[in-house]
Amino acid sequence: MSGLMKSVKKVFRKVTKAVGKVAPVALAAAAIFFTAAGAMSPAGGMGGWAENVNSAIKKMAGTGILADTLAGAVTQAGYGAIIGGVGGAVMGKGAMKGAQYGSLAGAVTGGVTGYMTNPISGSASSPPPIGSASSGSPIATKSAIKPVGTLAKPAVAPVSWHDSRFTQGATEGLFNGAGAFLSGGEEEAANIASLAKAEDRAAISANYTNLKGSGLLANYQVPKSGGLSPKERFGSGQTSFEWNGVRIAKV
Amino acid sequence: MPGLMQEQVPEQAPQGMPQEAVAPDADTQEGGQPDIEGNVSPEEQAEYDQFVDKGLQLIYNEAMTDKILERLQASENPIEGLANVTFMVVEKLVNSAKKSGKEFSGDVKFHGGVEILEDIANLAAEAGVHEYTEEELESSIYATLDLYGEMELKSGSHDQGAAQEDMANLIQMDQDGSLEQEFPGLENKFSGAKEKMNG
Repeated sequence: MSGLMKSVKKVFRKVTKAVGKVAPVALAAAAIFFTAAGAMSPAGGMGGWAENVNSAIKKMAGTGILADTLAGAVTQAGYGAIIGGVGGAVMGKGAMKGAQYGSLAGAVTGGVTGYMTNPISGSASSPPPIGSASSGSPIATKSAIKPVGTLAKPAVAPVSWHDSRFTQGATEGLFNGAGAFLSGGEEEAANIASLAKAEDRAAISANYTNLKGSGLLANYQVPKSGGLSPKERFGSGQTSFEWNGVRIAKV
Repeated sequence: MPGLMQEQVPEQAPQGMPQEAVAPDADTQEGGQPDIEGNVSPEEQAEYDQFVDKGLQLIYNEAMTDKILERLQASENPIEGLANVTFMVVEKLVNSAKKSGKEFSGDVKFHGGVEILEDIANLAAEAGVHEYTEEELESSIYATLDLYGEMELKSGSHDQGAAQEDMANLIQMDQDGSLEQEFPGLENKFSGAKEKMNG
């Protein structure tokens, strides 16, 4: 999804009538979040996506809207080991991604230094070694983390969808071709494992949890549409239903 | 800013208006989304429609619907569950299309992915699994994008040059004060976020 900032203000007519919707400003923040990560080269080329965000955050300084937006996005995205469990399992790498988010948290809570004068040219200095005083890793910034009484419950790694039989049949023929499945990718580089200990990730995760409801976002409960539930739609032998003018049928 | 934000945005939040001003209950039909007119070409809209329609076919395949609901139900964190399922659906769509020689544009993947996420959240609400707040929907988007970015990196499909160009523009806009004009509501929504994180 390259060039996402060019996409974000496009408006497509919705196909569905889903009642819960994402506000345009949130789409902009998401695009910025994705762009910032995508613009960065991870240190040594070994890090993952979150390490890219980490690099972007590190190079942000001041109190500009851009830095605030990235920090806000990271606050919401940074569920530490919880998201780590998702990333690890989906990508078939084990639950290591929480460590990356731990690094991300360290970068922000440890203070942001040095505005990215030219983040694009690659002139920005490489992040310091993991675990060093200024690396932003949770190991280095542990003192900045509010102690928590109990460790956050580690995420349960969800079932990988990549090799799941759940979807193979469903996707076959969708575009008149066999369902294509990416491989799980290479195993996560071993250096990620050294980013943080489980306790650090849990503490960071708990810290993020504490930040929830900090007033950054208004809570809005998604109302029910009053429409038929999926069970009702497909219940009693019903094999198809109308969805906003589109016929949805059992496959 | 050349090359950035070239399209107009009808029916979206006016400049400087807080996000609450575009609350979903305003001007909606039967409790659903506002009937927003698009600002894209018919060809782009058709591509979008195809993407979302195929996504719905995947989601509402009988066996898949149950599995999706089971997956959402089993997730200890609803954000994790929604991101996981959305990523799965989008990835399957993108890769199935590729197998057939079709490549969806980034615009379609982004906006279509968001609609698929919204629909899955709606499905979860209708099935009584979880009613997602706006905050949770947003967090799920970040988590989904994180998964997608990771996948792009690993598959070698990520275009870092385009992202760098966009980021350079964003920084420039931040410095000259035009960022809020281009993205109304960012300041209102995120002001002070960095300080809060720093505690």
